[in-house]
Amino acid sequence: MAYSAICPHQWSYPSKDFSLINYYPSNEKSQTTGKSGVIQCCAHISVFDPKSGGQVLEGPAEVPLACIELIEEEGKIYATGVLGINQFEEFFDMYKSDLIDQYGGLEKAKEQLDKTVVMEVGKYVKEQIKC
Amino acid sequence: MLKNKLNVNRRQFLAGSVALAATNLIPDVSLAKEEAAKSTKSAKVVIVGGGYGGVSTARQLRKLLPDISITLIDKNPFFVSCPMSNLYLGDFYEFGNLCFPYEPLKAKYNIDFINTKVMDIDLDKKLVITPYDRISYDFLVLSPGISYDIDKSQKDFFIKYPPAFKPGGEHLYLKRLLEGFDGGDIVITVPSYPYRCPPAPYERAALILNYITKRKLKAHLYFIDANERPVINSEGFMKAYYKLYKGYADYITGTTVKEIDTANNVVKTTNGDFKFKLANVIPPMKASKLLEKIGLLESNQKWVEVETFTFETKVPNVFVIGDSARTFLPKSGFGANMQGKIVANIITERITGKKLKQEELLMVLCYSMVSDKEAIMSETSFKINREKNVITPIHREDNTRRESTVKRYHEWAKGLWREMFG
Repeated sequence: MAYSAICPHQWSYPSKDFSLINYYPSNEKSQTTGKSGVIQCCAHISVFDPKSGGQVLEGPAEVPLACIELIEEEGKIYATGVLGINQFEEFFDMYKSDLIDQYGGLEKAKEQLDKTVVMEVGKYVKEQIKC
Repeated sequence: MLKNKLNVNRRQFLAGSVALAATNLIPDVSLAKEEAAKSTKSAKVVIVGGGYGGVSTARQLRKLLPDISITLIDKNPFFVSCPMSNLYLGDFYEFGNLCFPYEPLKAKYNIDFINTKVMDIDLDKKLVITPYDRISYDFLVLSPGISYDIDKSQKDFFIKYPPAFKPGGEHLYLKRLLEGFDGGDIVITVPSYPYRCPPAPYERAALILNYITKRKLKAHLYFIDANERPVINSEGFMKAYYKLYKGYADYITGTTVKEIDTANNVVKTTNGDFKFKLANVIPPMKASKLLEKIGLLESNQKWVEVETFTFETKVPNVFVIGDSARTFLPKSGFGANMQGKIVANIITERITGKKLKQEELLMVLCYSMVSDKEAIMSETSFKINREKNVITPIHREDNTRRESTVKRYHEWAKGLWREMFG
């Protein structure tokens, strides 16, 4: 499983500049909540448990992180579905103009489909803001 | 120089919050349930006040109940955010970015918006009275914000030097005064807590000091506080004043305004007189006058008593949320946003007869810019035990000035606006 990095509270997500929603591995404690092994969004301090389906542990989020089902075939990993409330429609609606600025509209975004690569968030964003 | 020594924060506002946990009006719930036995299609909810509380109530209600009638009434045609407005005064944010029209809420979410002033409310007949209409309701949510607790003789002064703690024109005019300021003495005063947005006066003082120093103006700030120290993020604010703006300000604590000599531009306080060229006297505040008029605010009280966990008043199915209510939450936009969602959930339960999950933990976050690049923040969680009627606050502060906290601050506000108007 993977999780959508769109915070289900008010839809913060990792932009190219910075990410407020981040994973805190078991050896790294959140300065604010003191929790480790969690996914935490620093905009409004919603904390999610990746070990239990992205359930909300703390904070104002009302629903868990959307869960992405992954399947491995011949050494390749495919995302095959979403479990839970994904809020993708709301996300694309909210960020429509920002996304057009970044990716140049639907047609251009479609061109990116085959070129999309998976990378660590720390390599994608300029700054991971943890709290 | 700064007269006040750096002190650890007293968390004065938290002490108030704990005491308030004992507040527990018990409305007649059986009557409320009976009266609220309406089908989801015919139920009418009227919300007075289109701030953080009112709009959040409307949006959450629509999410839960697609068919009910929701009417939002506000005297302004568009929402102007008070959170982030100090950044506009400090020259870091466009005023237009604080504004959102209400009208699209109708097309997108079928929330009726009426741009008018509420003249009166007949709580017996369940009617909201405007200059042109009488609007009936089954459930009434009042989120009208604050009024300034000033006497009529001071009114002209506060037009000339607006407090800018109500959103809109006051901020525009105060900014114009600041832009026209070319040096001299500035006086900012802070009333005793509680007032709207605990860190706001301290953030404003920091950003005005930043404004002065960046422009190299020959100016001095007399920052006069009725409280003994900043009521929140005390350490962070004091460090910022001392390190970044030393020599530009006197911070005078435990001092209240006695009188304003408008003819001579002098603020008279319990600790001496202060002549000013520019003033931002932040007056004591109280609940909206409308609430006094309709009898929900007792004449000797400043805030409306509501049931601790539901924000319901002594009148069944009439709720007061936001800064007008006496609640365990600090008076803030974020707190009003959460209260709005809670009240929407309660109304949904009463309309549908189905129980929703109750909040066990509420959280309020406050961010404050202290320079053009750095911010500090605080977070208070409230653990709720309904059975024992106990609320336990846990307060945490990050008083280290960080550039990353500025990014969190912006996203904090944008997230709220997305949820309300997106």
